[in-house]
Amino acid sequence: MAQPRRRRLATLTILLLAALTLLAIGGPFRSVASRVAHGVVNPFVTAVQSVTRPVGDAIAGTVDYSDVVAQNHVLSAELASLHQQQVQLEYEQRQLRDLLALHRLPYLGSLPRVVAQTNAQNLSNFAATVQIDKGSADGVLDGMPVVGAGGLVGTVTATSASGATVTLLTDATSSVGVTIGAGYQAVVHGQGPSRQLAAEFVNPGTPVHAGEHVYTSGQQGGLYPAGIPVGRIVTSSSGRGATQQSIAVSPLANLDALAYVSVVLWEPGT
Amino acid sequence: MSWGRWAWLVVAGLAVVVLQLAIADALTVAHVHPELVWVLPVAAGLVAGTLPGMAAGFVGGVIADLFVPTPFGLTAFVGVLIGYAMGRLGEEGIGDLAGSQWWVAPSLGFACGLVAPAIYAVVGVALGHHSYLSPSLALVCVLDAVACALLVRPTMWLLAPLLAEDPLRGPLEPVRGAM
Repeated sequence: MAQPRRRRLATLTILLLAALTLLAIGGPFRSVASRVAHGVVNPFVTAVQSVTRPVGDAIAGTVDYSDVVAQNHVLSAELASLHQQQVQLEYEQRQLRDLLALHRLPYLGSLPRVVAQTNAQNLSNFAATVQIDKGSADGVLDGMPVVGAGGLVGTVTATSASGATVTLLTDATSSVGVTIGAGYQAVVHGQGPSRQLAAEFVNPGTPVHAGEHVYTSGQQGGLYPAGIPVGRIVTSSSGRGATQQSIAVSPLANLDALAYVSVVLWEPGT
Repeated sequence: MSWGRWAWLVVAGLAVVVLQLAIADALTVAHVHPELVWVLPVAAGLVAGTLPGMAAGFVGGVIADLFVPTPFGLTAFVGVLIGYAMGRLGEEGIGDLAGSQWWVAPSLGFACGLVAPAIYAVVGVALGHHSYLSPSLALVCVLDAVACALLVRPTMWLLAPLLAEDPLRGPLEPVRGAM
């Protein structure tokens, strides 16, 4: 009896130490193993979803029919308004492109993109990720920005030949260099799935107003091209004696309902 | 434990990820979904003892961590603890498929599902991930507990022939008619 007990405790110790070792130095192993695991799992996920998704959609369509009709009316009105704005924007975009070219900054509108369908949301409730159906075979690489549904969605953090993982803005590991208010620089951090973002490094005296939009700055080591809409300021305050403002930012993209996204084929630092 | 059984645990871990991504992700309540990763160490521990239970927790955890940007190895760490605890009970014949009442394994699964995300969050905070202790943690625990309770017995049936005759656990006959 003593021998199995010792063996049990020895195995427990070894496996716990192995897990702690992975926590400490597992990064390089993770990237290689992650690519292999994605390659193995993605085809099976797609196959299972091809069976389960229509059933789920049918149930959801039946339950939410009235909401869908109401949303359709709202979207039709918004579409008409957006068509009108598009004409005006084309002129402004041309001007912006010329200005950015002068400063040698990349412009989102001129960069190639790959449209991808999301086929799964978070594996864990402690992370904010989506899986997409485009991978390295389509030119998608680690670090590429992902946009969709109104703004920046996140960054590609793992790829296989046929799929990739996108870490969303809201994930606690995400941070984006942004321009805020009248050109002030800040860094926006994720606070966890389905939670607002927090903007940091904004001085207490800086004029920042709720409702203003924030955009990628194109700086922060060149992780994102300039000018991608990131979010809208919800609240800003600075406590007594605080060294920076406390700013809550709501992502512009609806990260809880992503069906399609665009991967911007732009490598950081280029 | 033989290489064959390790290989089966890898297959089981990958299958759990497929089911998680393809089905469980869509079953959300207030932006939270059930996590299936805890089912594997609970079922393996109850059906085959501590060694397979800990191995299932480690392998399943490592595989799950490959798909998320959370600390690599954290799920494995918690999985090993869960697998050890359930394995100790499994070796006493508690929650066994043949010898125990039908509700024992689901009850243990519910308890593990409730505790595992809480341990995960606490260890995560200790590692500097303060956002893990969020208001939604209670809901995460409840959903994981329900998923674990519902799936533990079917998973035990599937794992029993694959993990049979562990040197610590012996053949899959009920050791005692406990509970």
